[in-house]
Amino acid sequence: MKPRGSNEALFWLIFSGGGVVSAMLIPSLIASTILGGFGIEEAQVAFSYDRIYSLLSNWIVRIVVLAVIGASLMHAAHRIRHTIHDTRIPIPDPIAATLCYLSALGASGLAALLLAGL
Amino acid sequence: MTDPEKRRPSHNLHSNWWLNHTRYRQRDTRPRPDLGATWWLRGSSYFFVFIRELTSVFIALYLILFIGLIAALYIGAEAYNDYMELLWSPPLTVIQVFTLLFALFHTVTWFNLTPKAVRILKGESPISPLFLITPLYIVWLGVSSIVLWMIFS
Repeated sequence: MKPRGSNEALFWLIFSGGGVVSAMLIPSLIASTILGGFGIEEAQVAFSYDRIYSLLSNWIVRIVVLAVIGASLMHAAHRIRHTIHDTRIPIPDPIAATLCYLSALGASGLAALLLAGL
Repeated sequence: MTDPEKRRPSHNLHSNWWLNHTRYRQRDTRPRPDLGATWWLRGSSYFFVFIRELTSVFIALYLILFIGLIAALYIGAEAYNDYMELLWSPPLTVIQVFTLLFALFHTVTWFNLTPKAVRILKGESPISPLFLITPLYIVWLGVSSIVLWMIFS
């Protein structure tokens, strides 16, 4: 038999880190982008192009935003992989795992390129 | 499966004396019945676990929307304004409201689970879970205030 759990510890570390990051930061992030949808003018002004551009021109903000995106996506990928298995969606685990983690890495890479090019 | 010959006699399920005279129960390693694809409909605790796992789908979708926002910002002011109009349109606002509810569910379940994953001992016995959960909520409120202050001030 193949030794089990050889890379599981690494994935679990990323998973739990991502869980903490998304628990801490995702609700306030969603709350901030929602308010404009209720027609609150102050929120729409806060999200004007110039304001968000200048906010993201700070390198520390960029790195934090990228860390939130990357860690949260890896966390979600890990959970989606297990949900695929638990709900008996007929995708073999190696394929589901590869698809989940690679798309999370790909989307994070795209975010990194966009943020670096701002 | 472990070879029954290699099991210590006292750990054997069939040693009734041992089972009847100690509080120790051997972990049942027999294969469990497969609950099938609809296990999450078998009661509220199963359902909440399923919803907890499902929060990740909503968070992932929201993050894709958020990467879209950064992409629009990258393209230029006109694309950004169009994108924000889309993001604040009624359908996407409704989706964001649901996503916020799911994200809050993730936060609460994650914080409440932390003491089960992180065991801090004080002397011999584990500390009260509240000593771990309460600081998490306090840090969460602080971090959320900083994020909202940075965006809206």
